[in-house]
Amino acid sequence: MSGLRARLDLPGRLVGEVNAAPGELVAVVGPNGAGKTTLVEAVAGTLPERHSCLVVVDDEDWSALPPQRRHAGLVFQEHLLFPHLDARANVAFGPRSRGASRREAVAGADRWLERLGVADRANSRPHELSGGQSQRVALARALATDPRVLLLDEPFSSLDIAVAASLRDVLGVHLRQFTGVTLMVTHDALDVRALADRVVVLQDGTVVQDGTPEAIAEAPATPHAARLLGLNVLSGIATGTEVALTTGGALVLATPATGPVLATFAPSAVTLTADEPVGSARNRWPVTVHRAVERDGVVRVHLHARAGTDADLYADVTRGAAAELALTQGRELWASVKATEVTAWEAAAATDR
Amino acid sequence: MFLVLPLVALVASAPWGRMGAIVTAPDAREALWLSLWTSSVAAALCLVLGLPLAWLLARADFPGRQLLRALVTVPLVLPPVVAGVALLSAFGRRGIVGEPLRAAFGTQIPYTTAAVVLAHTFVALPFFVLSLEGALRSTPERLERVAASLGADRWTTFRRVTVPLAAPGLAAGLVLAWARSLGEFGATITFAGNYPGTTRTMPLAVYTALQQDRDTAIALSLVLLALCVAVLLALRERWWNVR
Repeated sequence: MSGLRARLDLPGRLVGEVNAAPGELVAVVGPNGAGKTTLVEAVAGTLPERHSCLVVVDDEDWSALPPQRRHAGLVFQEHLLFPHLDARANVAFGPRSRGASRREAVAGADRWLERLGVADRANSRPHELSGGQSQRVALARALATDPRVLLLDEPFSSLDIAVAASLRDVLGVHLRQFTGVTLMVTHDALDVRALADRVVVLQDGTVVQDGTPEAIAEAPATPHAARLLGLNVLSGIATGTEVALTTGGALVLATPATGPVLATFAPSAVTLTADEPVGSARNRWPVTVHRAVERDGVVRVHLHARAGTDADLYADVTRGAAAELALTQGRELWASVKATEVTAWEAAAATDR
Repeated sequence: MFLVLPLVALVASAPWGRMGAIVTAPDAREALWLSLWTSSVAAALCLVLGLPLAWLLARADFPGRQLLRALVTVPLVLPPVVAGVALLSAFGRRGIVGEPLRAAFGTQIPYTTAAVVLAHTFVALPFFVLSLEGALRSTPERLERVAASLGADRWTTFRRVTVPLAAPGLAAGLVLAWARSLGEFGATITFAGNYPGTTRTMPLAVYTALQQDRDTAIALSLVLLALCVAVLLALRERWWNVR
């Protein structure tokens, strides 16, 4: 089987199996201490106990290999660039270590810096770079070694929201051409929504769930996954307090925004009614119930908008409300959200210069 | 006050009129040259012996590491005369290394310039190792792991990441070792003797001169003082530039 197969047996730290197909981006989510970084280290081979972890990549057994013989590219929350080398030498370090000539390595480094939009900073030392630029160089450095597994450990979490958004776009473009497996540890719903093909949910050192973002949003196994994946995310172009959605229709905001945005609101902010609401909620759509899953007294309802926009929505309602609304598949309802519950994240307008 | 007063007194009592003549006298020039090059060779030996040792102490995890560190520190607290006697017991005519060495090759170490270098290296090595170990410890190990993930083996990582990052500590260690060698007296006179031209370094020349001509001793001491101050200033400037 090509792709990644990792079986971890580190009781108390991480137990379970993680698989990924070539070209797939798997988001790894879980609260602090759940074992996310342990998973990354196990695949990279930097764990002292690497022998108790089976890691197979593209049919090659990495379990006994030291980190330098595994073809894994790492990017951390802190860029961890070599402070004594300029950006170009940082990116050239990997190819040089793997036997490329100086000239090849430098030429390759320049190409990667160019692709990640930081060619003009090639001669800068890390302390002269902004946070976003450093992380672009770190990505270039990881990609320049032509890794078969890309390991991203919260790569955007130390950046401003706007800078993170532009870097997320850049990463998305490169991952479309990347044929290896990407594991991305994240705490950010937008990362999952924008990039992930699949999600692995960790809790207390165990892999508790594995599935598409949609499947996990419908029936999250942990409260953490519920908060992270259950978020409703709609994209569009904002003009003042109105967002023209990419799925059609419009969304009203309380706070004005400009340009491309991601608008988010919690499933608990969605009100379901049998008839068209007449209250103060500015955003309302006729919806069809696709699925309803109960967990800990809360019913998460997966809805599809029938008119106004062509979007999927999630709503959380109590068991009592669910019974009152007679929630069954295909039931037609109205969903409404107050504009004050919607947060708009300005995305591509962001720049880290 | 207590620290500065003797130095002020030294400068004040200098025979400024005869300085030029004393310092350029053949004996003085010989001693100065001998001191400079034996100290430099000793510093180089410290680099060769001390670099792997410091790395072991800072990075490797093995039983007996604490013991090794204690052993490295011993020459630091050992009276230099005792160091000289110890070196004699090892490399002397009847020493455990010296005797077979003489039998096999006819070489004799004590009372030669080689003995000066050995004595210097022995007392200066701990300064270098401890200073470098500190620098190695303060360079983040995570950067070394990043280097490994980029395909660098241990040696490449050491050469291209660990050592460059520890460079200021390495330079400081070399200077400390060099300065300690330059001032070395007890171990040298015990192990290498006090022969003009071969083992009479500057401190020995000062001591010798003090017994006959106080002015010469003061003048030579001033040369040593000036040398130390010059090195400190030069390095200071470089360290400031790095920051």
